[in-house]
Amino acid sequence: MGRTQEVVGRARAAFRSGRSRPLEFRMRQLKNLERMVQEKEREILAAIKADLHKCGHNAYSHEIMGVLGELALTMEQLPTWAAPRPVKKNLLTLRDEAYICPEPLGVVLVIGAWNYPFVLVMQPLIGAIAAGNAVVVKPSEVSEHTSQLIADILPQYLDKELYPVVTGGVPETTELLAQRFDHILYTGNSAVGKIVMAAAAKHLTPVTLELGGKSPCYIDNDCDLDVACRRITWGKYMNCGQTCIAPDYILCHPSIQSRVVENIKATLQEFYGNDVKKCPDYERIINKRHFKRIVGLLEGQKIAHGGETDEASCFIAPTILTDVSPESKVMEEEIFGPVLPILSVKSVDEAIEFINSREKPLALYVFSNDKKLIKRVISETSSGGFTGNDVIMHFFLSSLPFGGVGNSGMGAYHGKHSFETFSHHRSCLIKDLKMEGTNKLRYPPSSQKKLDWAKFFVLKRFNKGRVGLMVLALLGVVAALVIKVSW
Amino acid sequence: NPYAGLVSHLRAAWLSGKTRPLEYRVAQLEALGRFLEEKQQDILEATALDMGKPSFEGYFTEILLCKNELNETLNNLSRWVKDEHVDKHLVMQLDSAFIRKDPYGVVLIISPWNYPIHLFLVPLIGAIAAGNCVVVKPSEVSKNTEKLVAEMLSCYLDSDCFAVVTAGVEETTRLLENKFDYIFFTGSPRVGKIVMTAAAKHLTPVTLELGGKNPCYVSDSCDVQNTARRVAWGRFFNAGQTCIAPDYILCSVEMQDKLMPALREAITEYFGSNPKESPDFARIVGDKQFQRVRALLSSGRVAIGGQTDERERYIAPTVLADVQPSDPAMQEEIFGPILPIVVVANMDEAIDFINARPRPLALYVFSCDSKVVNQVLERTSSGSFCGNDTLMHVTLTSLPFGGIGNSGLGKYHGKFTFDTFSHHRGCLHRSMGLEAINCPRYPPYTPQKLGLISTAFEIKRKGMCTLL
Repeated sequence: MGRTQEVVGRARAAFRSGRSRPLEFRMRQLKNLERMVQEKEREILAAIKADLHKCGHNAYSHEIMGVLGELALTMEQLPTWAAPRPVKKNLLTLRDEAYICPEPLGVVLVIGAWNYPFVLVMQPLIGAIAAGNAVVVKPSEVSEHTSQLIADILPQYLDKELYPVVTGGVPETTELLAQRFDHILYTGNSAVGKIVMAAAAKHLTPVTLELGGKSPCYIDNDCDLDVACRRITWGKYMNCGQTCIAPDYILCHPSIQSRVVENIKATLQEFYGNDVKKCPDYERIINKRHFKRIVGLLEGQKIAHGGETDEASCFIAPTILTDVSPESKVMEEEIFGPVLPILSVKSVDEAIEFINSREKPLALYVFSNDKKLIKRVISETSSGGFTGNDVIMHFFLSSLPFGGVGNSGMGAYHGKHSFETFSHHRSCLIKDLKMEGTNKLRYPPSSQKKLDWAKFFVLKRFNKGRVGLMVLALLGVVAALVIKVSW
Repeated sequence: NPYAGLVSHLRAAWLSGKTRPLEYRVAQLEALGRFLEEKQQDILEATALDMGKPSFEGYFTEILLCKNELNETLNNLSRWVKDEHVDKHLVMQLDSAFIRKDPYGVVLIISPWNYPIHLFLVPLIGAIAAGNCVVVKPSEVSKNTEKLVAEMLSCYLDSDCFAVVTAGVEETTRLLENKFDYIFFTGSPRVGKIVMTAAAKHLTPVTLELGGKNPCYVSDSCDVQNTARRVAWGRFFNAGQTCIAPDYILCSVEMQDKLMPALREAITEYFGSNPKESPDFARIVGDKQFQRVRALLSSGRVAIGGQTDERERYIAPTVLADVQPSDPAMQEEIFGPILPIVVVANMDEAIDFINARPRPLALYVFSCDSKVVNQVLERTSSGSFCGNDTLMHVTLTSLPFGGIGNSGLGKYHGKFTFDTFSHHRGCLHRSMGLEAINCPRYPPYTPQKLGLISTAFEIKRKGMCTLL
């Protein structure tokens, strides 16, 4: 055990001290985080570039902008989110205080992923701090430059004991998972997600699992193919396809397949120029292991475009596969690379059936001018999230909960949803110690009379109009007095 | 896998979409209402046979509170199922952004024996309301109620989509090997861990309503009579077999002396001079549980009650004085009609005592001084909190009911049950036109494009925070 146990123990002691709870403290930490992102912008972009060959523009818009937006939103809304929430009362509790008090859970563990190594650690961290928790941050060791940077800069801006960073690989993560946490948020794949949840089960720790899967993209015949393909190309090949909500594969009618291919080709040309390998705006595969895995998926496939690879630089060109069989390897696992299979379906019914016969994906995309068709697909399928007529974009709206379902995960976060995820909603009912009158009807010895009064007070068959409520309140007081007198 | 057939039958029904239309859900819920009405007598008889549940208690918790939840759901369901529209960015003003409430699919509800109808029915209401197919696994310990539910529920609910499984420990383990889309478990922390571990194999989300020792702090400034009555009522309801019962009292030695006669008076008022003869006092549910609870009597000294009758599984309403933290009664959740009093010097000591232990499902404080109530509330953590009364917070459907830490995860009651059994799916429906707005995001990248995106997506702080 040793080091990790110490770190977690210190975080727990720091949480127990109570200092992470006052709103001013949380705001200060969030403000410091904001300063960190602004002051260390260059270092952050450099680390991401070193890990993923990602250019400044992309890294900024994917990883920095979102974080700054989340910080601004959280700091503005925190006083509202953290305030006690009064609830509707019944006749029996009219004179009482009844509210829900959002409270911190305690010590939270955030395990990040390597594909968006900064934002996938920062966004959960923001929500966990806002909710008043201590947070142990474990960035992915695969994106080693960003991981090291986070370990270096976080302690320079945040309370060192409350928000420690633990770096390392599988052994360190396993050690961490043996400790007790009060919530674990894990971003990664389903296989490890199961391991995380099983470890959490030993301590009855709630989990948020942001996993993955194959996000389908259905293109209807009735749509602006030019626009659709441009948007799909953008979402598929950003970060070299290493995006959990990238459109994994396309479903469309065979008659439009060649036009889809042509449009995507044209868009690729527009985006990355003639020599994509030389283009500074195109990323690389994270490491050799994933490179080999993705190249393996191309075996035996009909390559309509791309297919060039270079192991030394982990380069895989934007690739399109056509006439892909549902049973092929490329359709078995999440691709997480710049390879786009196109499968034929004869109708939207077939597409829906195809989607429903597989694990629930993290995202689902449909392109169509027919609003009814889009509504139908939403209603007849299930997925973590959904965007119609575009890809990826639901991720950027923080008022939408971001998370998976089934194999693609459980729980959600972003914006207020992060705060809710990392809070315990404690129900509070404060009664008067006097006013024993109305209580008498619930005490033994029982009687039919008492039962009838109980029904009157508890059963909600009433019209909720204001006048009705006032009459009831009056009746309640009268009843209390009557009971007090008669008992 | 003995249950594979059943689960795939339900899954086929789920995939057919049968449970999704609002009218279908409403019809099934109304059928549940008829079950409560028509089988009311059978329910009261079964629970009386299972644990001597007094008919007043049985009516209140198994019928009345369930009807309450049912009416709340039926009154509001058409609103709850609607898409929830959310705030949008500047660039998304012409788009439709909403949260869709999707059913999970085939869900499993495992319920315990102490409130054997309520604790499966209330989750079931939410599961049906949310559009799921449901497998209900009632407790085998409350045999008579289990039989009633197994035989009669299918007369009211669509058996294509809703099934009752009767199973002991081993069969339940086999049941848990199947993939469910949600598991709702009420029971002990020990079994909660087993359920969650099984769920992890399929990445099935869970709600665990567990338990623990619910502390009850009585401050020196309080109305002793009213406190004694409310605490006694909460403790001895269902012969103490309540997950949110006040498990033990913390108070000063002076308060212990004051409380004792008041408790004695309350117990006599409720159950007469021989509670064994009162129709309003329940029994322990089984022999195993009886032995366990009886063993806890050797803690502190018996100040009130203490009598037992093995044949009837009767344990008298008992108050133990001067109980030590090391005594048997303080080692586990009592779940019986025994109320230990542990003496502490003051409120700070009480708070330290509470915080040194696993977080409870409920926490109670009695004081005429609201400062004391607030202090304990702020300096402790628990599933829920009730000041100056016991149990009553669960009758309010607008308050979420659930634990924290060892006492559970997730919450339900009222709309929270519906939300528990729904997947909240973030949906963005964009327009195919206005492609020009999207251009700044496409490569080749330029500083101008970046500037445009920043402006479009930026959330600006509205002035300085007044707290600072």
